[in-house]
Amino acid sequence: MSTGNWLCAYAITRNRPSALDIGSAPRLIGYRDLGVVVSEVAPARFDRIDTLDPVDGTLAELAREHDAVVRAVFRSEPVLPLRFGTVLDGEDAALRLLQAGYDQARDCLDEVAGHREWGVRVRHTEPAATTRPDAAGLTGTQYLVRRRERLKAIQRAREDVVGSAGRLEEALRRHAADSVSRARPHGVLMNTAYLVETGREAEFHAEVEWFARELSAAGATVETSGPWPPYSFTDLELGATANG
Amino acid sequence: MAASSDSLADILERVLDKGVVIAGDIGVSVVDVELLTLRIRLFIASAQTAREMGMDWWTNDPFFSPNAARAELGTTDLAARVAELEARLPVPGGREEPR
Repeated sequence: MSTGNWLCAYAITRNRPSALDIGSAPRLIGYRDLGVVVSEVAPARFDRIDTLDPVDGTLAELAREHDAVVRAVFRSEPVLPLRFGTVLDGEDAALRLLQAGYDQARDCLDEVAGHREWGVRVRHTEPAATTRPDAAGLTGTQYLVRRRERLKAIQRAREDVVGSAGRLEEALRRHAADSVSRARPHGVLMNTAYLVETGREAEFHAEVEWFARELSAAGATVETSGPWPPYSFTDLELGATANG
Repeated sequence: MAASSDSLADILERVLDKGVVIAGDIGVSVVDVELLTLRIRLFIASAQTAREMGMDWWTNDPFFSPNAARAELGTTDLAARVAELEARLPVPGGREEPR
């Protein structure tokens, strides 16, 4: 095992160095028609990475760097982003990676070529069910009736939004090659990543707009993010089976 | 309306959690057991900032914050449950109301 020549690996792409504009630091190591984008890295940069504040500071900086390199490649070529923090032990390891994972990587690259990832998120903050009507001037019965009406209205609104978000998810799936549900923080009803062929993006976004109006009328908001390199659609482990 | 935003939270969510994994005999990940460790560190280091950014999924995860989960059950969930039960009560109006 050599030391002192660690390469931080960002992405697998096609072996067409002339098509790439990724600045001076990252470079492409090629094997047949595939290449892996790497740059020299001092492992010390990653020291205690998991103890760092994720929101600002070194971790955020490294994550943005990783994203920037992946995006730079993605501007001109299809790309398989590698997991953040992947380090190869020199050029030989990079070649072995491409050899061992050649078929898998090539198939996956063909699948995502011509596609971009879009994130769609539906947020809904409903009024608290615990607020109570003003009891002044009401009989006990009137109070209960009013309270019940209010709860029913909240529940109806919730059902409307959930139903509408479900239809949106379903409709978008028809315009996408693939979709993946992502973690949903509190107040988020839907958080899905879609892999969309570039030629179908217009219809995809028209669908989002249409449902955004419907959902907005029901008190929810729709956010989109993207275009992303296909981060969420490269669920692959390279070199494990092909080598053994 | 549809708004587009590639926030840092979106970037972290994708860059740290997704992407092709390389087998151990060829490459190494410098971020060991990356997500689990990150989750915990994220929580300790900047729960507040992250919550403001909407990255507060662990607050609903009993593994990371058992107390928070219990507290929530004690207030929000219970209140919602009471509200639901109240909504199911037969309408007292009409029948029993003195005329």
